Amino acid sequence: MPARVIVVTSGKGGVGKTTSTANIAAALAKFGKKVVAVDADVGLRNLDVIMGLENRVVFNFIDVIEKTCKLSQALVKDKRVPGLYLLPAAQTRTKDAVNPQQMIELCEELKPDFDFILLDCPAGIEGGFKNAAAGADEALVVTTPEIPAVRDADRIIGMLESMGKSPIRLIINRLRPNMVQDGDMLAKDDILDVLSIDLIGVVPEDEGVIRATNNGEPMTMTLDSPAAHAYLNIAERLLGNDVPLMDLESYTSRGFFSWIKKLFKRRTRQY
Amino acid sequence: MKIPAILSRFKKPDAKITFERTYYGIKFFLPESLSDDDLLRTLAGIHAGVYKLPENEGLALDFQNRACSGKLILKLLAGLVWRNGVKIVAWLSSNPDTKKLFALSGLNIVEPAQEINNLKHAAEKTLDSVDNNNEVINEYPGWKIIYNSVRGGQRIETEGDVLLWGHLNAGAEVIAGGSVIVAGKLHGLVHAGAFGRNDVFIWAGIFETPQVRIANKLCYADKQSTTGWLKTVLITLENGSPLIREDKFINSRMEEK
Ligand SMILES: Nc1ncnc2c1ncn2[C@@H]1O[C@H](COP(=O)(O)OP(=O)(O)OP(=O)(O)O)[C@@H](O)[C@H]1O
Ligand SMILES: [Mg+2]
Repeated sequence: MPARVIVVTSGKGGVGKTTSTANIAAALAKFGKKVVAVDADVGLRNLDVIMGLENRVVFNFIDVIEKTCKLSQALVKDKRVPGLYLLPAAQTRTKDAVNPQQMIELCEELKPDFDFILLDCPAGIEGGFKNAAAGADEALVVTTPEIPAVRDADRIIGMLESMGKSPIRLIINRLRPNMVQDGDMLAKDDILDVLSIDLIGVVPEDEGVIRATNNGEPMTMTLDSPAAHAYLNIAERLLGNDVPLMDLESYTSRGFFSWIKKLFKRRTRQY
Repeated sequence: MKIPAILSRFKKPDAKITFERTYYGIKFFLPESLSDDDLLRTLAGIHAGVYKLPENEGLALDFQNRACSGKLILKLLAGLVWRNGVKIVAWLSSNPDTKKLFALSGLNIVEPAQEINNLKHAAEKTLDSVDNNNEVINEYPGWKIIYNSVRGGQRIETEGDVLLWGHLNAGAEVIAGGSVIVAGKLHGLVHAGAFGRNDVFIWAGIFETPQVRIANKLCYADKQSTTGWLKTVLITLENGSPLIREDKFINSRMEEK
């Protein structure tokens, strides 16, 4: 079966698209799938850094499009997890270097060799987003629990709908259960009420993300944090498994973390 | 009839504002060659007496072919309309972009109809032609029914009425010549009667938007002071002023729950 092509997008910048792409890709690979994460954020590449593959990048996908190299030469294989690949972006080019048609062709070329193609999209609603989205069938929209991010997500969802992407599912990132409890942060249900699309996962605010980013290792590879757990759940749901949502909101921060740790002890043994 | 005496004081070598007495009040001709700043300065300098019109009269501003910005409109509203209480009955322009901007800002873009008698006459005529010619019936723009939420950045524009069977999200717009019903939450912008009709209404399942436009009125709303906030409401024009009513039939049932 050819790969499922999923664009990871948000509208607003800095809400966790790249973090989500890297972690979901690593999680899917962990579940035995063959996955390529494509850094479609041309000119601002950082998926390679977050995945810890920066030093292995030789060619990038613009080189592939312009036929400077073969696709297989540009793909970077992650040695830590079998089946995980990165197709890096060009740092020195701008977003006009690609057009939607080329992006579609690139995805077609990747499809036979993979189970999943995840496209890490640039922020915004302009060309860069449209290019990245062009090649995708499905979409994951990332938002944080803040009004501006939710509004931008709404806008992006409208555009994805009119492009015929389906399903379009939502990731709520950086949720702080204790702030929601105090009424200082939008709750999951408030966001779903506005966006009216399916939720695929809620990722808590987690220091582990920042640590992992700086260490260049997606957390789902190491499994030691609540966010990693959330991303593994998202990957499972992408695979069609029915995993209940973590009930983040009923835990205050300390209780919540110890609860998560217990869960992890249980889970880590499974894999 | 021109009023040159007042003008001479503000006139510039190549550009001056001229007035004309009309059946509905006064019409100002604003020459394109005046810069926005000069225009504002000149208008501000005009003797307040000029703006004192009989109650049923108003002022029309003719911008000719000037490309107006939203900023200029706001400055005019703030400096002329809101400060001096000048009633502007029409914002006229021959520039298509400007005209559109005026219409979208909820401003009246045509001069008031000349005489009630003429209007009646016209109405009778249309009725006659309806009898003779079925095609005329199709000119009634009718309802536009939308069965999904309208999202930020999306815009519905129609000459007729709109039934939105969903939410109108923040950043989304519905511009209708007729009335607008938003069955779900009203977060975005609605302009009912966008082309000048004022026999229109807005009905919202849950009212939660900072601004509503109806005919040539622009109304601000907020949770502290606006009746019907977060409730089901009906908004109409009453004697030319916007009126918001809570839909007590629905709201009382919601409270019972
Ligand atoms: N769940 C989380 N908890 C804590 N920090 C997070 C979380 N998710 C993301 N971050 C941090 O937020 C920052 C932005 O994340 P990321 O680069 O993934 O966002 P992005 O949407 O890809 O940004 P851009 O729009 O610039 O591409 C990073 O520093 C990341 O470490
Ligand atoms: Mg990014």
